[in-house]
Amino acid sequence: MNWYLKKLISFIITILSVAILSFVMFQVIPGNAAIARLGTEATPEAVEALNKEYGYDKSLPVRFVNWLGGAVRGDFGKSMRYETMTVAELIKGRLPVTLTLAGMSVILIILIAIPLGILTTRDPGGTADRITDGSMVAVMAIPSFVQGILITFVFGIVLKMFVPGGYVDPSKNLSGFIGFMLFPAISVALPKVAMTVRFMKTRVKAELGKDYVRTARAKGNTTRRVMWGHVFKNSLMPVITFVGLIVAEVMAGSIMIEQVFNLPGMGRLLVTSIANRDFNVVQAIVIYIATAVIFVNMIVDILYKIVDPRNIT
Amino acid sequence: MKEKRSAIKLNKNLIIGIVLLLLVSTPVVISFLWMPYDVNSMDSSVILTPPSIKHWFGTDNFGRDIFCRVIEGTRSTFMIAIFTVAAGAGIGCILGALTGYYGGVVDEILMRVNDCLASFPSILLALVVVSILDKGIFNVCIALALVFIPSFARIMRSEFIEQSKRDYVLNAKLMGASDFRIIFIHIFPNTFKALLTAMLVGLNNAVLAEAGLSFLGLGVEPPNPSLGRMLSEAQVYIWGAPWYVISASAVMIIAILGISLVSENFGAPAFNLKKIKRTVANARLGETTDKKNSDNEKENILNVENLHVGFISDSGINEVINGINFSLDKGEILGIVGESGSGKSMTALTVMGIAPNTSVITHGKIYYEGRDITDLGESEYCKIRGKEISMIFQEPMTSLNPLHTVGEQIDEVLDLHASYLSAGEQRQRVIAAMADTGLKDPDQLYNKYPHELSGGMRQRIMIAMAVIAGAKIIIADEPTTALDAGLADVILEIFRGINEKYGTSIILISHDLEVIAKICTRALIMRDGIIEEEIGVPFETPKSEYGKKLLEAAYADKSYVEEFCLSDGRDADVADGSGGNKKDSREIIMSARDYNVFYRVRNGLFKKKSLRQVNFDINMDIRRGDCVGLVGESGCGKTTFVKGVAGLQKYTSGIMELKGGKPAFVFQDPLSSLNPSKTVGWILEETLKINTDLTKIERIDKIKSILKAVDLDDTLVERKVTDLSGGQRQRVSIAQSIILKHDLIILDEPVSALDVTIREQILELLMRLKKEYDLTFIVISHDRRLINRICNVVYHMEEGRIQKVR
Repeated sequence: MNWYLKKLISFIITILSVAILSFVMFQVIPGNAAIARLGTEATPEAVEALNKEYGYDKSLPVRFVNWLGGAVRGDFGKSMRYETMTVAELIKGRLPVTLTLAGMSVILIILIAIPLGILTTRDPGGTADRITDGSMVAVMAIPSFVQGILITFVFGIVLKMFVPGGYVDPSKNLSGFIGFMLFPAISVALPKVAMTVRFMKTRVKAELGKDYVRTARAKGNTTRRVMWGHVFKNSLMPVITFVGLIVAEVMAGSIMIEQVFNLPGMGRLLVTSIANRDFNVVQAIVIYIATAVIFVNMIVDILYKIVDPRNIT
Repeated sequence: MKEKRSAIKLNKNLIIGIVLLLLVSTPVVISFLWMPYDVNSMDSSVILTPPSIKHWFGTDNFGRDIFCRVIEGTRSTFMIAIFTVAAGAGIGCILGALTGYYGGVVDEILMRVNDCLASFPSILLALVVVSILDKGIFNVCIALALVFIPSFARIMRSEFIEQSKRDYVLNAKLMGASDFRIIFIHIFPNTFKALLTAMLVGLNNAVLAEAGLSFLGLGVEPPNPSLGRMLSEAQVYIWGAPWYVISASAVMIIAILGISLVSENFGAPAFNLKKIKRTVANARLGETTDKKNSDNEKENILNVENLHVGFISDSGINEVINGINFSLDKGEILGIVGESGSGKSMTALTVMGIAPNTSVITHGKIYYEGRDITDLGESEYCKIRGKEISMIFQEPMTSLNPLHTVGEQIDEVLDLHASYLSAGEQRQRVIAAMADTGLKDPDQLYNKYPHELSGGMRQRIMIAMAVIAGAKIIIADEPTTALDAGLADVILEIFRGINEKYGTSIILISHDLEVIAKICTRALIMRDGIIEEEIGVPFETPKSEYGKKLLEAAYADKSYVEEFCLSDGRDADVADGSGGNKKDSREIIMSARDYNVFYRVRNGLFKKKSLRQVNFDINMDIRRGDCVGLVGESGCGKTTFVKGVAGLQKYTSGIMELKGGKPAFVFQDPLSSLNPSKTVGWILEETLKINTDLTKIERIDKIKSILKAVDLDDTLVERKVTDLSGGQRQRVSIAQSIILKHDLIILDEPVSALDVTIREQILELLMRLKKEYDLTFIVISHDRRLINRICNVVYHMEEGRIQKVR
């Protein structure tokens, strides 16, 4: 079977499993949503009416198929808290905020981590290596939201480079919006930059111990040429995979950082919805985020296959 | 010169980490006994006051003492984190151990679930669980534990898969240990180190995760403090009361910094490599070597004088080369022979200037064409490597860069040393060099990747690479060891051809005297970092004691067959006739009829399973007292077959009959087949415990007598296998194989991992025991000479089929 087709099937299966898992978690485990909403003293008629309205009176498989059918079209039903709003409407305005934040963070991670990684591995144990190593340990030790708070404090309050808690709608002022997203994106990216640099370091270190590096040196390559011509490309492969895996963590970071910077993204909506026990919304967000993560990882797998000649069969 | 590390030296960062952790945990411990203020008592008179003597970290918006709340918060954060890691590690370990050990469908499904969970950001998963279970400390614990289970399961799974490949697991199965026993008593102790690291990292992440949840208002509920909760409250007062944020975050940062420093530097070396290297190099500068035989320089292309090389470790510099002197003549093929660890490869790497980073030249000089290259700068050395001196390694597959085509890799040498050539000229030269080594279709091969070539082709590529820039010296380090016997001769001939055609000097390094004998004219015998002697080839009579032993062992021809296999009650002429078994009255103890072994191949969860056949239609009878040899190249199915004899193969057809129970095994590498975390006594006792009803005292007696039988001192029972010498270890394996009085013993390359000088002793021991205990042997080896010396029946295996040779 074609490898790409296989990959696509496995992608669909994984998403389907996530869907089933989340359906079980949010629609089955919490029990009767109507009673949960109306309280235990609600009249049977009211409960029944609500059940009918939300389709809770049908059997589980039917409910799953209905729900999945809607979900594929982006329809996750109504919010259980804001009765006039559908889940899709609630998410619509917030999705771009989170995606921009996550996207900018990933770009920042790649832009900062890879040069830093090269810098540190060029001269192991040297000054550049020791300084980055130290600061990376510190960055990883500080929770991302604390870094967010510190960034707000230093750049927002002391240096006045942005207005803490402020926000510009992208439809009104796109460059202003991107500007506002910059510091949150830095806050999301920093801990992951540290993770990526350290990962790169271990990869390069492992790669340097391999036989082909010895051959490259025996040919008369200088240390710099060994790095660029041989080690770098080989150690970048696992780094690609790693960046794919890190997308999940970037999403997690976005959820936290939206709280710190007061951004109207999906993370904020998620936290409020959890507090309100608005499971339809929570479920939709979970699926959106998981799909994004799985999708990125599929792309990474495909990229990997294209770059590595050993995969061509 | 090998020294054991006597005391654990502490890394600087590790000490800092421990100090930081103590700094945070001491007040927490004291707080159980005494606390200056009640954490939740409010005092409206001191709302948001800055730090003072009364309130060290100031007060919060309710007038509560921040210092007390920080300590209390640290306490609850850490309690949650510890609980989380304990629960996550506990369940994760069991899951990982079971899936890693058993594999199969359960493993496949669990790994899929793991993949799904991995696509949820961890904090999101925790959030979801908390949202379903509702808030509260206990639910947070459960949520976080659930999040941490997959990562522990993954780590333990890969550990178990790794460990299951080791022979000691197979050995435990063979001695009849139950799966439960193997998992928890044999394998588990060997995964401690990985588990400990994982737990420290987990603790770190758990603290961060709890803080994150509490920060989002879903963790610890007010008014109780936790570090995350306090940070989210403090954020509001960042303007007016910065001390609130600072004190809460500072404590958190110190704690996490402490944990991560400890987890990262656990077991890391404490020395400063660069500093030591500089000191050693400076000390060496003052050294004056009496540069002798300067007249000879024109003849000698390479001179090594009093060279000492050592590895830097925590306990100082361990010398692995202790003052060697040799020279290489122009156009000469010099052999360096020695066993593994003798320093022959280190010598080569040091001459090339590409020895491992942790090694350092402590004394001595290296001269190339009369020029001192010992302390040559990197850029100067690069002009010599590949152009003047080039090197070929043992493993051509791993020695080539997997991401570049082989043509590019040869071309690179020209890029470095002959960049004046045009691209077209370079390509032409590469193709000519490839053709020179006997490669067909070099034009086509130019664009192939290493993985697309065979082992022999790859080694030819390496040779082409070594000669293309016209190197005057080629150092070949075990160039034929990874290749099949026939191919090895061809490669050696290529070397001879290069030597004759271009007058290139060659240093051929090998453990195999026969390889050396084929093309060298002179050889150095190395052992423990010194040159024992210089010997003419074809081998002259050795002068040194070690040289004698080495040659004796390599060319030993004492046959054990007559004395140990062909005695007891049968006619000698039966041995050579395959059809003359009628007279043989000895009992048949193993009989295989049309025996086939298959492996199950699975390509994915949804793909159909298929069987791949490894052994085909094997017919074999083994009689009591036989010593059956099974020879064949690696990968031909020898080991698969004997595992079948031991009943370890699941997919078989035909008949395999054994009289007298399962066979015992002696493996090639006792370091792998004996559990590294156990003592000799434990290993021997385990076999008895599982298989007999002997009492403790009887078991100890038995162990003592069996150790005596294999000529080991019974004080060794307390020692770990890793502390024994190679010979002692193999004796322990042999002791284990005979302790239960098995009839049939399978010896899988029983002496090939041993130093040649002790091989003979072990062989003698084996044959003596064979007679004493009336044993029957199946010996697997690729070494025909050995098989011919000890076996009365010999089978040759090729691609899974056997043929009787003798």
